[in-house]
Formats: sequence, C-alpha cells, structure tokens
Amino acid sequence: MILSYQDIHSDVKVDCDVAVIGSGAGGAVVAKELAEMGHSVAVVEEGGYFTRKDFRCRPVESMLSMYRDSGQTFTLGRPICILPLGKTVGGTTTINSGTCLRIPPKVLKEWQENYGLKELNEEELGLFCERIERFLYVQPADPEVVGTNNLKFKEGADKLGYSAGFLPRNAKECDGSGLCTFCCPIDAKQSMNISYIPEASKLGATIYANCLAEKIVVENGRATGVLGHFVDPDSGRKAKSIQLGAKVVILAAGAIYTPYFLLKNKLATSSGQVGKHLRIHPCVGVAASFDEDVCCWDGIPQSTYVDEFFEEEGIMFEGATTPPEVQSNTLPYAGNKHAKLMSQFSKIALFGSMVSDTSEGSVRALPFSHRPIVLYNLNKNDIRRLQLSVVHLAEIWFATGAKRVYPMLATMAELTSPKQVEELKRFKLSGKDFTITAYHPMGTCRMGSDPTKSVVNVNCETWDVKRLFICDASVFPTSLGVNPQMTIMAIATRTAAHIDGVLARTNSTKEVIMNDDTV
Amino acid sequence: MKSPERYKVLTKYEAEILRAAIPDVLGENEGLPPVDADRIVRWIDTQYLAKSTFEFRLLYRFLILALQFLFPFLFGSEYKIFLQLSSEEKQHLFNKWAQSRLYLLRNSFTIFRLAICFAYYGQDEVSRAIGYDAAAKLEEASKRQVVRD
Ligand SMILES: Cc1cc2nc3c(=O)[nH]c(=O)nc-3n(C[C@H](O)[C@H](O)[C@H](O)COP(=O)(O)OP(=O)(O)OC[C@H]3O[C@@H](n4cnc5c(N)ncnc54)[C@H](O)[C@@H]3O)c2cc1C
Ligand code: SF4
Repeated sequence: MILSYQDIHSDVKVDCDVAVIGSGAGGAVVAKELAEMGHSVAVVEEGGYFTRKDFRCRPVESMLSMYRDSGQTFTLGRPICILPLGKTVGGTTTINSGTCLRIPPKVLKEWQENYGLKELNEEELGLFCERIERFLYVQPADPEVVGTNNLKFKEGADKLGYSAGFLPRNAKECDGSGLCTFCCPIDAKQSMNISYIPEASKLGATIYANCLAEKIVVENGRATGVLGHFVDPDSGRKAKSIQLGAKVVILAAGAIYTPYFLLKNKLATSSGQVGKHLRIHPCVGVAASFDEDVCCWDGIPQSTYVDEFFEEEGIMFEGATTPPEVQSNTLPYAGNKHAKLMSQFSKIALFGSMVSDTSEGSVRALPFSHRPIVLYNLNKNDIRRLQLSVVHLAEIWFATGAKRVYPMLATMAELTSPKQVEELKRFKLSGKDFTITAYHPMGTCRMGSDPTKSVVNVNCETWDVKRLFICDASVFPTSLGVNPQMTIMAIATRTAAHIDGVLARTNSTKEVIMNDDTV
Repeated sequence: MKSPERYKVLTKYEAEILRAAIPDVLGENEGLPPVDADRIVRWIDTQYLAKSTFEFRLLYRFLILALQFLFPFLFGSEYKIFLQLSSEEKQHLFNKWAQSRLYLLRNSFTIFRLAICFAYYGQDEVSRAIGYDAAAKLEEASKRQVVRD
C-alpha cells in the first residue's frame, strides 16, 4: 500500500518489524527484501508519489516536484557545485540515468584491506548484483536507441583507440525518449518507484509518502521506532503525525540527509565521523558543435562510456544530455552570442566526465537551520584530473568531427581547433576555473571495522545504537569511481539478509521467554 | 499581455529590473521566437521562485538588486545603473558576468540565467523552433507503458 498526504486523515500509530526512512536505492531494496522474508515493513518517504500520468515531458516540472529544493541543492566551496537529489518515492533513482555498474574490484579490495571489511567479498556481492540485475532487467544500452550524441562520442573514442562501450542500464524496452533524469515517461527505466517499491507494497509493506521522519526513538541503547509528520506538498506545512514502533530501524535518507538526520538528533555520533569524508564524483561536461544535426535530445542520454582513463586516473566518461531548457545553461556567453548557439541547438552535442575524487567535503547541521550545509573544495589531484578530463573530452569531440568545442572553463569559452587542446593541456587551472556538477554524494557515515573511525559496521549497523542500520550511499568508505546505485542496492540486499537473521533471533528469544512465561 | 500588479515573491521594482534584463540575457537570433519578458517574469515569480527555498529566493532577489546597482560598475560600464544601460551595454555586462574569473560571480550568473532559460526554452513553441518537440514526445509517451513481467 502506498499512502500519500491526501490519504491520511488522522494521526498514524503503527507497530511493525522494520521501519525504513527513505525509499531510494538503499531504502526501497531493503524494504522489499525484508517484506519478501515475511517481515512487516513500513517506509516513510518525505517526497511525494508520482506516476507517469503526472509527467509532462518538461524537465522543470519534474524538478519542481521530484527534486529536493526544486533542484537547487549545492555544495559550498571552490567551486560551488550543483548537487541534485531526488525527493520522491524511489528517491534519486526516480530521476537518475539508469546506469548500473558493479563496484570495481580494486575499490572493493581497498575497502577490505584498509577499512577492515573482509566480509564484504566479491563473490557474495556478485550474487546480490545478479539478483538485482535480474529484477531490474539490467542490460547494455541498445545501440539502436542510444542516439547520435552517444554514438558520435564513442566513434571519436574508437578512432583514437580508447576503450569504450555501451553502458548497462536498468531499463526494459527503452525507446530512447531521452528524459531519464526527469522520470521516465513510459516506465521503461526500472527506478525504485517502478520496481522495488511496488513489489514491497505487493508483499505487504506500507509506504507513507509526503511523510517526514524527524526522530528515531532509542530505548536502552536500541532503536525502537520513528516519529514524524506528514507534510502538505503544496504548502510545506506539517499535518498529521506518525509514530512507528519497530524492532529495527533503517535510516536510508541518502548521503546528505542521513548524516544531517543523525547530527540533528545527536545519534551515533561518538566516532566524530558522521558527516565527514563526503565524496561526490565531481563532473565536468564538454559541449561541441557539428555541421550536421546531432539532435542530442533523441536517444538514451547516458548510454555509452569511455573508460580508457579509469584504471590509472579514476576518470570515467559517460553521456549526459538534457532537453534545451536545461542544456542551454551549459553553453557559454549571454545575449545574441548565446542565442546564436541555441538557434543551432540541434547541431550541439554534450558528453560528461566524472572523477573518482580524493577531495573530502562534509555535511553540517547548524542549530537554527532546517537544511544541511554541504561543504566541498576540490584538491589539487582532482583539479588535475578534471583538467585531464576536459582535455580528452575535447580531443575526442574533435576526433569525431566537431567544428567547435565548449569546455565550460572560465579561461576558455571555446576551442576552434585541436591545436588549442594542446594549449589547454599546458594551462594551470585552479578549482575556481571549472563549472562542476555532481550527482553521487557518498561516504558521510562510513563503514569500517574500527568504531572510532567509522559510523557503521560491515552489516551497516551503527556502532552506537543497536538495531539502527544505515542503508544508503553514506556507508561507502571511499569514492566508488563508478555510478553508485548498484553498489548501494547490493549492500542493501546483504544488509537485509543480516537483519532477517537479527529478527529471527529476536523472535526466537521472544518465543523462549513466552514459553518460559507459560511454564 | 499586461503584467500583474502584484507578484508572489518579487517586488515591483525587482520585477522591473528582471524584465529589463531578460531580452539581453537571452539575446535574439533568426529562428528563435520573440522573447516575452513579461511572461517570463511572471513564470519566474509564480512558478519558480514561489516553489523555491527561502534561501534561494533571497539569493535570486539579491542578484537582481546587485545587477541594478553593483554589476554595472563591477563590469566596467559608465556610471549608470542597470536600467539606464543600452541593450548593447547590457549584453556586454552579461557576457563579462558569465565569463568572470571570480567563480562566485560566474556561478551566480548560472543561477540567474537558469531560471530565465527554463522559462524561455521551456515554452513549447521555442523548443519546437529549435527542433525539440516536447508536446509530440508526451503524445508519443502516452501511447506506451512498459509493464514488468
Ligand atoms: C541526475 C542524477 C542522475 C544519476 N544517475 C545515476 C545512474 O545512472 N546510475 C547510478 O548508479 N546512480 C546515478 N545517480 C545517483 C543515484 O541515483 C544515487 O546515488 C542513489 O539513488 C542514492 O541512493 P540512496 O539510497 O543513498 O539515496 P536516495 O536515492 O537519494 O534516497 C533517499 C530518500 O530519502 C528521503 N528522505 C531523506 N530524508 C528523509 C526524512 N527525514 N524522512 C523521510 N524521507 C527522507 C529522500 O526524500 C529520498 O527519497 C544519479 C543521480 C542524479 C541526481
Ligand atoms: S531513454 Fe526514455 S524510455 Fe529510455 S529509460 Fe530514459 S526516459 Fe525511459
């Protein structure tokens, strides 16, 4: 059952086995898995529940309704970075690109060796990934519908002999309508609102949308429930209250709101690590104009990749296009010069790069503020790799026949020949020169084997509060290097199996006690 | 269309500055439909800012006032306030703002322009003119729904 603000006419007070806060990649998966194992599950989700009928193929409308703060979330630092987050049933998966990559083996090895996470082994995670991939119809993007933008970039990379391919995606019968990040209009993309959440609901879980969790109840060092309010989606005002009693509480509010929740409630903070070590995979984009039409809005926006520089530099190139009202802002200039470019929009292409960052930011909770402050500065190593990204993106665009390239740098609005790419290589750029965006916050409640250096253990249970689990991107100990949803889901599946064991032990202890009572 | 007397978020003065800025942020070119600055101001006020966070509204309004009083001097025009600048001077200012080496200024231009681009290029007739037909996409999408097995 999925209940929204308008369905709730009185205060809600419910007891369940598991209360989950957040319905994104982590929350939805853990909810469905536990419901399937026979536990009673309640999910509270701050955002609203939308279906394709609410969707008008206009990005701004989706941003105003499904993105947190209408898409105006950003990090403060050098440079300022837009960091969009989903706030809707399905979390950020509802507005993501659908790319499904598994955790790179070298990252997992680093987690095992440097963070004491030996129990997270490749074989077991591989099995969980297979299960998820089956459930979400993960398959490589169909070359027939990836669109000219992605094909052209791959062609350029192929010409230069760079390793490239088609991205695996969680989409079934996708027809390349190009709107994944604003909610798929035909339900092809298997985001959580289409897949895990409806399945959890079918299995008996209750999903409360427009419902803000405000407190986790802790008794004798154990999480025992969640308190919150329904929120009127139009006015933002609080309405009826909700009180969930639970044997296990799972916080899955994402890597920005999970640490914010803990800091605000002064929960699980003894290690001093909550909100620290924020990684975001900073991204740069490079646009290019061609003589011929590219129609970048046609086809799957993120469907090809170039991983030539991944192993050595942690750089991954992936497609990223949007309709004109959004993409217009990635082009340089203002006034008539900008209008000239926009009137040629059908000939403009765009590709992005993300860097597996070593820079670390933080999430803070100020006493009188109702939202987190997110701080992030690029370090020298990441600046160097972002510059390298821009250089290679430009190089690839020229290789595939671009006439002009727009690198989105303060120092250089456009490049008109491959020679200028050489000049760009020699520039000494600083963090302030880039226009960056980021889509993958992670690492703010890291997992580890040392309670003084981590927030949760290998089973994602907080060291400080028993029966309180964290199930989202915040548990990653380092940057992942690839798109994170598969890894979040795999760890959530593993955590669900562990919680099932915990609940089984609780129930059998209860039975013993009850039997004793009867005796 | 006549502009409304009252705005939800902006003051009349802020709306006036914004209205004067819009045509020169967007510019004009063959093939692009004319800019209806009144409509865009109304959209930014009632649809965009009204649904934004308090902090964002404050920032946007601050940028409008900075554009009027501060940026003309910062970006090197004569001693005039924004509303006194010619179209050419305004475009010169916006281009300098867009390419500023000071990242906070450059980033603030992105924020300022984004709402304007959303409003203008988000109109069906504008996006259709440059090849993107959102209405046709919606029509197409409404005919199909993928169902899980
Ligand atoms: C535009 C975009 C494209 C992306 N593309 C990809 C991609 O192609 N592949 C990929 O792997 N990743 C992609 N990502 C990232 C990916 O979607 C996220 O990493 C992932 O969804 C994070 O999962 P999560 O469970 O940590 O949090 P989320 O999915 O963000 O879910 C958290 C949920 O918790 C809710 N919440 C927060 N606080 C509360 C509260 N107090 N009470 C109730 N509910 C609350 C939020 O509203 C939200 O719905 C993309 C991200 C963006 C923004
Ligand atoms: S390209 Fe279109 S059909 Fe395919 S998943 Fe994205 S939004 Fe859905």
